[in-house]
Amino acid sequence: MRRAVISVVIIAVLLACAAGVEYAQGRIPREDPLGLRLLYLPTAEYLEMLSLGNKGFLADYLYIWAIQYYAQFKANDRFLYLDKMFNLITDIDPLYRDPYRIGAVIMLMEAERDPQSRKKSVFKLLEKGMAAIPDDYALAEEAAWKARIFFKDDNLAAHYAAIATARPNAPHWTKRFYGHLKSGSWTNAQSIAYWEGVLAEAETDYQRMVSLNHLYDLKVKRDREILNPLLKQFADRFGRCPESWEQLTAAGVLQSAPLDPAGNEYGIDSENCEIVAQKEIRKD
Amino acid sequence: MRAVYTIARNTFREAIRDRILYLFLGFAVLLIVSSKLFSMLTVGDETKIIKDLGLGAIQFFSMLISVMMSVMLVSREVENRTAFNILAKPVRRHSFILGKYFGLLAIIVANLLLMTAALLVIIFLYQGEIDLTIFTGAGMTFLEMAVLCAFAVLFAMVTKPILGSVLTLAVFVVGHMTQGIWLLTERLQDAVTRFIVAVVYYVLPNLERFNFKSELVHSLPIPAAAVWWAILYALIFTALALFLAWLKFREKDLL
Amino acid sequence: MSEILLRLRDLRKTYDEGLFKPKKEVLRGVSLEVRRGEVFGFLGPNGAGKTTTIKAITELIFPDSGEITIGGLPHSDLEAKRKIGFMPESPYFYNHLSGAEFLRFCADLLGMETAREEARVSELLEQVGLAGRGDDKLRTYSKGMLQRINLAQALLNRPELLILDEPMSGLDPIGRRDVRDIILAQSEAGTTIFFSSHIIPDVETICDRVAILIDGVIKAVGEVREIVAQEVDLYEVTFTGVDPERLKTGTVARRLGSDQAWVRVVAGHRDALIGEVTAAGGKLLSLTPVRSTLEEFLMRHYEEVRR
Repeated sequence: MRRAVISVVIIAVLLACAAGVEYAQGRIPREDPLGLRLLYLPTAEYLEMLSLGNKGFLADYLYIWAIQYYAQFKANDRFLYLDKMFNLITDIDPLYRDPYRIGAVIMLMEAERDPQSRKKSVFKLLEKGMAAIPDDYALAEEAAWKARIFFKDDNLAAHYAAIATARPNAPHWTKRFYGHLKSGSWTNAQSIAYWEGVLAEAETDYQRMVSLNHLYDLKVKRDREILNPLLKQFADRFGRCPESWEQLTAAGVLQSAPLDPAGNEYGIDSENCEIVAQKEIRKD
Repeated sequence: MRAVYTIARNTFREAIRDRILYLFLGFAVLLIVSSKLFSMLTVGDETKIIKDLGLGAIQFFSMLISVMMSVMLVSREVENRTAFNILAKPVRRHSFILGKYFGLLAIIVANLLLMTAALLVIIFLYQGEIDLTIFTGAGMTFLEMAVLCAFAVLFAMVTKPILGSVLTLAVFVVGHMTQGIWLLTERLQDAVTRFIVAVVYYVLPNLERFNFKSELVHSLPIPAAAVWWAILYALIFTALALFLAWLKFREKDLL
Repeated sequence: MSEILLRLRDLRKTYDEGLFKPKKEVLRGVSLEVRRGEVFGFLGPNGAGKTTTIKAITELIFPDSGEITIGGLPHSDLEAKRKIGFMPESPYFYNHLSGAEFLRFCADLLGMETAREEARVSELLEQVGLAGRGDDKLRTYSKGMLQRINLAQALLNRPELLILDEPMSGLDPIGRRDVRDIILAQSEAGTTIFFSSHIIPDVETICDRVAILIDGVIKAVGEVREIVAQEVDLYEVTFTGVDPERLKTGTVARRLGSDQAWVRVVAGHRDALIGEVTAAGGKLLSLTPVRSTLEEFLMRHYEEVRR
């Protein structure tokens, strides 16, 4: 019994010493703050060979390593090899979507310091993903979002949104997003034409409702452009804004009371001399 | 035929009764289960990591079992002369080789089934559905191991146990690297080197032909032709290795 | 004249020891014939080639040249192999099996019907004295028990020709007696037995005929008493006063005790010895004729070879 106890104590002491030495070694600052060791990673083809048929897992491992590394490290120039790292991961497994996405996110964290080069990196990475996964809309949509939110570049955003809508699995939402992004550059007629198409492609009631809503707004805007001048004309002729459509039809300006896209009569705001549209849409 | 079955069954029994196997199996299952740890560290698709790690672990441990068990089941038998019992009886030498091989293969299959089941359970816990494509991955690993075991048997007949297992491991490593090396040398000008690489590439089994992990994990379609060719490829190399093993064994003096 | 069951004709085998070592010629033209029903002994010193010969018969090794037939069939024929029961020198067994499982395994290999296996296995375990230990794993067996199982698996298919390589090795006297009894019982039942041994008394008592293999060649073959009878008688002489090592007369054996010397000489040398001892001033104490034994015979042959 005594011998067993002594053996256990000896083992415990040795293990404790080993742990202590390990801890002491760990405290010696030897981490390369710039991630210079990343420079020495072989290229993707060699790493793939070394993985002995498990390149998917290798990509996973490097990806997890990268996000943990970049999440924790405080050094200023840690992003020096960010591009290289995520390029490597995506070279090894081009179909793995997360590295494109999260890589872009990490790169954006540097956006304030050097906006131009960061912008280039972000979209380069996302475009690489878009090319590698041609049947998927998600990365293109991410690119569109980032362009709009972070870089305030609606043109660029629209460019990516267009790519996204062209992908086979693009959800309806993406098409609507594109429509919104283009609203600044299209004419109203172009917008209306586009949104008719969006409505036609709606599959759920919700999608239909949202599309109809927006079409309504667009058509109202179009009608406004036609009808408001008419009201102004009347006001010029008769010295005051009309108060009902009968006045206009009586004056021969219109054949009948104009209806909004929902089939209701427009109202007239006599003070400002504008038409007023109802906002509610009947669910047809 | 009965002799082959008898020897195979005895080989299988010997492996089952050896506790090393349980150690491997335990590690494999542990690895598959601990894929959860990896999935916790990632941002994004967790199932991909579980599948990658799971399929990789299944392949790795099957390989270990091939390498280690072949030493135990085949080399040891020839070295320790327990083969005397069999070969002094009315049993042909080719029956011995086939029996040993199929016994070894049966062990691989049993382990594959267990590990695949473990992986399926883990995936089920994550995705809520049974992912049948994993069986394709297991099937391909089986083909790969069928080839590897045949080489293990060949090396057991030709050389000492430890060297035999090292050579089998080498076949595994080179078999996976050969395709990459072949592609890389396409750009080389040196005709001699290219010739040597070409010889190695075609003579040794290209184990990447059994690797459909990328398609399985990313849910891409696997062309049926690729599967059929892979099966044929495995059959050819298995036959080749076992034939060479028989050629050596049929004239070997058992001292 | 009964049928020849086992015939070896001019077997030769040379082993390659390695790149720089000389080749080792183990069998240099071994020929013999074993008749059906006899108990044939195969004697020789270690390294003579006994085990090599037996392995050649069971096709575990392949001779460089020569012919082996069993019951008229070439020994590589499966039918020929079915006639044999072979008990190798050291038991090499699967430790993971029990005794009964191992016997069933061997029975499967022999092509025995599964229905008959169980009964036969029990019968054999009984016969070799291991009844009740059949379900213990082989790794728990003592050396003697392993040797019994070894014998049992050789008897499984009731062979026509039983080949035993050193069957008594590793056994205590009781075990050896049991094995001897089994061999004799088998012989009674008509089995032809071919066994190698270096324990001469066993061979002397059991065998009908004996072949003596020395240095890869058969030196003598025949009935024990014939072989021995070919030799002349011996005399044992004791004397004092002369160092037996210094004698010029050839002796078969010699010993120097504390108070006397003892030598054995062939009859033809007797007078020469007496003359030499007397001339050297020694004193003869006794002179006894001795019947030669096989052991003596062998010793003589071994010495001749060494000389």
